[in-house]
Amino acid sequence: MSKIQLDIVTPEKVVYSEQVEMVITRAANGDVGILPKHAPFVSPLKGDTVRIKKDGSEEVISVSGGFIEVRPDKVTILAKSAGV
Amino acid sequence: MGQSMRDIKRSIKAKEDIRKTTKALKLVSAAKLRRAQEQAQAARPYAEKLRDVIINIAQSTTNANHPMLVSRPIKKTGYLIITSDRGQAGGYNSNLLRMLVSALSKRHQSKDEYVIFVIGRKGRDFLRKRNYPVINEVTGLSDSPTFADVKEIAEQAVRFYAEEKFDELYLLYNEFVNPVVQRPTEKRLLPLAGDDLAGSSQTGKTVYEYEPSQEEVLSTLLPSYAEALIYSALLDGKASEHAARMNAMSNATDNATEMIESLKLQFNRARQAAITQEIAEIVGGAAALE
Repeated sequence: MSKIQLDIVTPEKVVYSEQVEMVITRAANGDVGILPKHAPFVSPLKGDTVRIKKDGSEEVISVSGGFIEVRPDKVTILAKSAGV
Repeated sequence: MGQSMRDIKRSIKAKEDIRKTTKALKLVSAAKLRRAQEQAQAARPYAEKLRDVIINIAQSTTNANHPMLVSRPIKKTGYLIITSDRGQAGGYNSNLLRMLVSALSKRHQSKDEYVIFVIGRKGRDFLRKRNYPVINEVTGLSDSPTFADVKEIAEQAVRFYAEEKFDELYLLYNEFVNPVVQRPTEKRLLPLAGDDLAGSSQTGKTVYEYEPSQEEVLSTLLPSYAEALIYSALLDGKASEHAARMNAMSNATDNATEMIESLKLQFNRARQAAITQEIAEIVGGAAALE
């Protein structure tokens, strides 16, 4: 399965930077699941969690006050704070 | 020799104690400087990324007249000044405060024309004592401040601009050039300057889909960007503070060393004089007996 680069960045540092299979979170108009080669997309985050699917397992990262930027090969989440 | 040997000895001891303290402070500052620099480095991707996306939007949209991007007639001005909590950092605070005071007296006729946000005890005490209109303050920041520490004051400053409580916002801090040079800097933060966002984005043009709309995305991004700039100025200021303190303490150590040298010379002269006098007395005494 192809992968996509996910970076989660806060004002202090880069919290998370890995190749993942899928990113699931809540954007302004509803939940989105992002797979590799997704169309470019920008939205503020409505929810406060980001679910990450990687190597068959799932990880959850809490974020606050962020937005998501998607490019075909890369997802960047900018949040005011984030933690595993 | 005006001073007795005992006095000189005591003076040397005192200076050696001072030198020990300043030397220790210098080493501590050097370590803290390294950490502050690392932190400033780590904070860079966030602001850069935000800037990138904002540029992308600003360039692709035809009506980029979000209030944070457009200048309006200036009736009132906000200042945010970043100073340190502790002294012993050479001219770190005084240079910056002097710059603020001269800017204020040049630009404004009365104290109703501006408000000041202040970070750091030194700046607060200075401005409070002189009855400047300080409307919010943050003191007691750690040496590695987190975003949460300044979130409140940064959000307030940006919000006051959005609510038109003032029409421009200046940021004053010590820019970290290198460990020896720190430059007091004044930067107009809001409205976001054209040239700051004029450069093309690093990643080239991407046509994004915006959810819910371009304008709304922009209006959540711009305040975040302004806050991120404030935070990175704070980190820059912290690095400058440690660098300034390191230099001040290094100079103090050098000066103490110099004084100790000259006092030691004085001490040896006094000792030699005492010995010479004793010998002369003995010789004189022996001669008298013959």
